Amino acid sequence: MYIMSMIRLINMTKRFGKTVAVKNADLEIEKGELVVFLGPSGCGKTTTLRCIAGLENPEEGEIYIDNEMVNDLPTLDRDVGFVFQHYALFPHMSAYQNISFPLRAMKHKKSDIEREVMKVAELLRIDKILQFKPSHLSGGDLQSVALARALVIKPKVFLLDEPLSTLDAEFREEARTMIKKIHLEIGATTIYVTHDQMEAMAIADRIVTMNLGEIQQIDAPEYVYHNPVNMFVANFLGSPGMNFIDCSLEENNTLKLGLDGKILQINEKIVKKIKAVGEDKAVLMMGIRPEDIKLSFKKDVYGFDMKVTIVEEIGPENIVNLRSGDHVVKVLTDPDILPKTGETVWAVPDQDKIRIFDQQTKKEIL
Amino acid sequence: MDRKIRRKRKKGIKVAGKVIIFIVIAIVFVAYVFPIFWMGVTSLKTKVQIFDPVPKIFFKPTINNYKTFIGTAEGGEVGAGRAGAATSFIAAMGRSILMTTSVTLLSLLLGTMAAYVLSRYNMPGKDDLLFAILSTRMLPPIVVLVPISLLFTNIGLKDTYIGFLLLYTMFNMAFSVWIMKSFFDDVPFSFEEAAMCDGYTRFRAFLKVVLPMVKPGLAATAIFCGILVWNEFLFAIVIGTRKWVFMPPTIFTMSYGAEGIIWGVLASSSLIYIIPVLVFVYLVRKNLLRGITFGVIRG
Amino acid sequence: MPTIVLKNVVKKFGKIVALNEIDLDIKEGEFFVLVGPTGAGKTTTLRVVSGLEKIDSGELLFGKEDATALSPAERDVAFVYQSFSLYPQMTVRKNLEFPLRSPMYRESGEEINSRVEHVADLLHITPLLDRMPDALSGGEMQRVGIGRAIVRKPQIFLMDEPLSDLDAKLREELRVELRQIQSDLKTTTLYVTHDQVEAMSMGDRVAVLNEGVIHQIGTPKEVYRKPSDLFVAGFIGNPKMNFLSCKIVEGASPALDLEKGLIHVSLSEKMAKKVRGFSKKEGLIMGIRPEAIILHREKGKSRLEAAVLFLEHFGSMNIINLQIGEKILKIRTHPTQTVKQKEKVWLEFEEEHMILFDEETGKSLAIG
Repeated sequence: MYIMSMIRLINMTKRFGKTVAVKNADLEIEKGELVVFLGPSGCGKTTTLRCIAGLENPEEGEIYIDNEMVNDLPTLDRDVGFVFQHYALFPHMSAYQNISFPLRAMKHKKSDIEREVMKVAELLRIDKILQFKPSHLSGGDLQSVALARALVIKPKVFLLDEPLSTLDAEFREEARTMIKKIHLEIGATTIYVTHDQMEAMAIADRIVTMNLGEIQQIDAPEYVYHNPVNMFVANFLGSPGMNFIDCSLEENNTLKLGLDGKILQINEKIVKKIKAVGEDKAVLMMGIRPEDIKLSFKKDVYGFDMKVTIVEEIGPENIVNLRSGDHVVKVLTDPDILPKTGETVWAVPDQDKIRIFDQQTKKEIL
Repeated sequence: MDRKIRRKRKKGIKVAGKVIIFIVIAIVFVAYVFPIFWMGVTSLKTKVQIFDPVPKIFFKPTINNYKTFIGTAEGGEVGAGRAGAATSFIAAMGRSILMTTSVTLLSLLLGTMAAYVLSRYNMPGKDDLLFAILSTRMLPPIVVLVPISLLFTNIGLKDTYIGFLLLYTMFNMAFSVWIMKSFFDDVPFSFEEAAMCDGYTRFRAFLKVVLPMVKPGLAATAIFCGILVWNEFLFAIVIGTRKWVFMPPTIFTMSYGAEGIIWGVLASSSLIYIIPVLVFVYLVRKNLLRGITFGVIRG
Repeated sequence: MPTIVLKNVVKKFGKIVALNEIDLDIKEGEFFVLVGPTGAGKTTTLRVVSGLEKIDSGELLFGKEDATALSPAERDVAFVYQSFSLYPQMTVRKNLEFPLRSPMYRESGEEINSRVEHVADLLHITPLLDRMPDALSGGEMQRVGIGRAIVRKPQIFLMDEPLSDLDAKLREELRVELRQIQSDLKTTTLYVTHDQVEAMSMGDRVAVLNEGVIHQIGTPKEVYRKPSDLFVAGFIGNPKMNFLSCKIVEGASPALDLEKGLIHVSLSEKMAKKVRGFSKKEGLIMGIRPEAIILHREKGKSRLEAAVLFLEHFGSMNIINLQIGEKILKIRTHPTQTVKQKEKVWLEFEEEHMILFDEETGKSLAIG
């Protein structure tokens, strides 16, 4: 059997004692793709990565790299480059020695080593700092050296475990751009693990969203954002994430919201959608993204009234926090819209952007 | 098919691995426990049985050895137990327990206080001081035996409670300071700071917050200090000549008769001797496991 | 609740100057944020206010009272830390009670109970009260940590990056909750973070620090729209402000020459007037926010040509990365705006959002 993919996981499960870290993971990654594993801490993303690298052994399932089953191959023979979260640079070696370390281990010729190291160093713009030891380098430079060490062996697959999470926010954006740029230039198959959805959205060709050891959705960033399969994905992507309000369909084709029974007018399309699956009882959840809600300062039947609690002015936009009972709804607005705390406003969702989820299964009703 | 075989083989390897680990543990266990077991068996044998070229598995046990060194043996083994063995044994045990307890407590108290200061405060020459403390353990004790013995004779500390207390505590300080310091270093300073902001004094913050967090360290230090004192023989026999005779020299004198070593008495008294240590270790074992690894303590 | 005033505060650690003549004036009931990169001196400032560090020179006043000689407990401040939070040997309830049982406060049992329950309720941690800290998640721990600070009703909250160890989602949630609690309690709060979004979103006012010096103090909006220098301009805002080298070309109608002659941007009469007043004409840097650049598909006057490097989708917006010479420019667009890789586009800079900086001093000359 010939498979065109670079990496393929079939039904992989990894346990630590009684805890299941990764459950039945199925995944295919094409050659040259940059795939991001995204999820909260403890979702199994790093474990999956470590299984692919051979740093952990899954109990069940198969791992293929370049059409070869690698379950029983040690890390050494899998031809992967791994960048650790805390860089794992050798403190007693200079940047040059660190980068050349894997090549020296493979007993390459000295002149070859030098050529290769210089090539990567120039690519990452660290050719001027090669003689320094890690203790003399800044966070961003350390990151680059760690990347260079993984790049220099030209691995089939490039595995990055939260490579930016120890950097200060100001460098993170820059480093992210650099990683994306390098990927575009050399086109190595890359898996990138992060818990930061912004980072994932920014660089991924496809995002693998994970939660509680299970893969939730595998799709391109914009697709996942606009078509999340369940409530977890819908809320995890986006900053702020999607708002949810429990609701039920009324006799007169309006939505009764869990906000003290407020009524929201909805269009035919949504009504049809709900009726089609026959779920007209109180087990629904309305989902709406913060940027798809307009604020109205006077009554609007296509909206619901809530009280303004806090307005976060974060520069190019404002996050307006609305409250009604225990429900909080976040609305993303232009920076010049500044409602006052305590004021009552009507949140008007864009009808075309309203999503309906099943409260029990947390899945979207299509 | 191929896959299945491979998986089976993998499973086989796993089982084999577990068996090997079990065997290794068993060997280590036997190696450590057998001497104690043999000591117990020997303590219940008569002299003849002890020297039986082919040791019997089943034999008629006797408690005569115990009676001998406690001093109530009638006729029993010859040569063992000088006059007043009973009082000397029980008294020696008492002295050993008293000395071990006092030295351990004093070492913990001084060591903990010194370690806390060395961990939390910066002062000039701190590193040198730490080195100086450690250097007290760099010479083999026997080198200082004669000078200390002479010194103690001259200043009247020889064969006194205070003398031994000072001597043994001094031996233990390096150990308790270094261990406790490493434990204090692992407790973030912010714990005390938070308590201070909450209206506690530095000392109360230390007592209420920090000390409970270094319990494993205290347990480990106590055990190591205690065992060192409990087993100390060299100074005990040279300095403690009349009044402060501890257990190790007592066992030594009791088990050497005119005909050489009296194995039964040696075994039985030694067995009794290790019981207090076993009890103590058993009591603090929960803390000890974490303490001995000297690992980071976590909440 | 007192005001907090720092005048000329200097703090040194050996030869390192951690705080270099800091001046702050924090108002009663204010949520004041100190933001800056690692090593900026923000945590040191917090510790100086708390009394955990002594200052080398300068004044520290609480209200009108000199606070330099007061112990941390006497200052009546409560500290919330980044990662430390709880005493591991005590249950959540014992942790919350701990400050109330201190010799300084020693409340009655009844009072302790009612306060603990109230705080637990406020922070939604009532079900956790009898658990040990090691059975809590990171978010729960930090909630309890905040609870410990609140329960004593201190005069001042001091918070040292309380959210930075948490997952992004949780951070977003807790920052609003924290802000809400503070505005209910109206307790003067000094909050330290390195995350500029957090600073912007939470602060009534923000002080931007770097290397022991305060660069700017202002409302989040002021700091974002009118940065006082290059550092503030680069630090606040995500994606970062774009910077292009610039000089003013004088003539009948002044224009800006960007990136050494790459493009001449002509200015409106209003801007031209302002620019004429600048004493410096060369060695400038023009800064412009990613949302203040308009993308065009056609050539035009004052439009800068650029090649698309790649596009980042963020759902509610897109960031387009463009190559201009050696530089990468970022522009923020509506999520429906798409471009192809390597496509040529033309950029228009909104002049009312341009800010000019002196390259040497970094100080803002301001236009727009």
